[in-house]
Amino acid sequence: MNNKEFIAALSQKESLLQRDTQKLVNLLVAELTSQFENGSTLTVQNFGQFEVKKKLERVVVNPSSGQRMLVPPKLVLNFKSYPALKERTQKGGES
Amino acid sequence: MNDQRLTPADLASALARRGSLPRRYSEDFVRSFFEVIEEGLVHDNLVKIKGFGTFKVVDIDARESVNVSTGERFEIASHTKVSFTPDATLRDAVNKPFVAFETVMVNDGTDITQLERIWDFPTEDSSVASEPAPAAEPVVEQKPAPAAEPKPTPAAEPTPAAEPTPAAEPTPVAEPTPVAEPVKVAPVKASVPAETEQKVETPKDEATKEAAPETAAAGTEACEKSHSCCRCHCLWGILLACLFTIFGYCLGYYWHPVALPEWKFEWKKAEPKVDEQAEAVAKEAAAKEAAAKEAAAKKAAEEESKVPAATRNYPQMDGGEYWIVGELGMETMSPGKTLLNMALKYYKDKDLFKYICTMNEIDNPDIVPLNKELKIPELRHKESGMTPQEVAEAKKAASKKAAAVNAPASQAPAAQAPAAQPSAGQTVTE
Repeated sequence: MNNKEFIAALSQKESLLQRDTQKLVNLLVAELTSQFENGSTLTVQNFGQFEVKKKLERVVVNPSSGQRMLVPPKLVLNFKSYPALKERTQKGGES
Repeated sequence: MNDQRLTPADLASALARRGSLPRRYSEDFVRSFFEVIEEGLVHDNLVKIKGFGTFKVVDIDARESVNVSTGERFEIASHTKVSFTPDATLRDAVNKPFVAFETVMVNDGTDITQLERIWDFPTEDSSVASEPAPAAEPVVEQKPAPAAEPKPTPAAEPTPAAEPTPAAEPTPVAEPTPVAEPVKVAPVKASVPAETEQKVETPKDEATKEAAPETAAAGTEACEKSHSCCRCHCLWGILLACLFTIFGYCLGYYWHPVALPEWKFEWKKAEPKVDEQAEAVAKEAAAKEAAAKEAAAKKAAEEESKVPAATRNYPQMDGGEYWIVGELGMETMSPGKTLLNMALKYYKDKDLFKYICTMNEIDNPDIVPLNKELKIPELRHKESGMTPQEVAEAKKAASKKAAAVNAPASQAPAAQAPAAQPSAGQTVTE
């Protein structure tokens, strides 16, 4: 399901124009981005949790050259799905 | 960093504020947003959202593990997992504080044990930044050095942009006023910096603190000279103070941290499927019809006498190919139903939804109220008197035949095709 299909499905569900749906989604994404920028955590019932986590710096080794590199620390957005979502995707995948 | 815990309700209120749409719609929208993602995951195993990221259902193979308490070996069954990969824009936005870092090569012979020691205690980044500094190797030193720089910036950056202006501003306000009568002007003065401060909305009150003692000192000084001052000066002072207040007010608006453009959203419930495509189709059809109108105008004028009497009882569409001669039935508008669907169902031609609009006096086919009773018009072709279904069949047969006979014939105006008999090809009518 790519972005277009997603918008189409959402507009169908909300009985909105696709154009407006896309605008609303953009607004929502902009809001989420600014929130995650501030390090907020988003918890959605029966769906999952979005959390900004800090990854510490580490040394990696290039296996072919043996060159060691120091990877800097970074902030990443992490998603953890809830058991309910896991179960449903599992069922959907099997059937 | 404000480590807030957000819920969809917070998102909904933020969305309602940004899009200026009713709260209940935004709540509904946020809920649907996640529901649709879930549906997409169940059906497609993959959902991509522009600007946000990609959700994917990933299969995880079975693997062996050890029970920590008993030391027993057991197998974790294969299962699936929902993974989320943020879009590049979102990823970069989240990682903004650390964006200055780059991966650095570590020279051979570098002692990493010191670094490893740091990993053992995962404390705040400040310790990570300061600790590696004493490392003897130049390479390692190079790297942590920028660590100190980027960290304060996210906190400090937004304020200095706004700060210098108010600091510079109140001082000129203080200058002209001491000349004026102190008794009257002093309170005005005091209020001016305070006011400008409020308008400018800078969190730091340094400017006021600075300006306040200054004015106070100036006030006492001026008090000694005050008796020689004339009323004219007083007026001037007040005028200048007013001017600076207005100036400060404007400046405050200019510096007001408006980061994101507000987008006004016009909320309208509309047909889900009648969207841009439908509009394009409608436009195309309209253009086609305009062309057809010119061609058919002469014929129509000649055949004016043939107009069925029943047409006078119903509203007719200008320049259309069909007469509305009666009612086929009624339809009630409900979710999932569209004018196009109805046109397809009754006429086998979705372009004819316009006749439904004409019949029911719908101005905008994109907006049809829910539960509206719609009369479905019975249509007869203006020339041949056929129903739309027959016309469609004739069209199909004609185009098939035309394609078989010779290619250019198929380019003949579509409006004339329905007039042709199914047996007689396009070429014959030409």
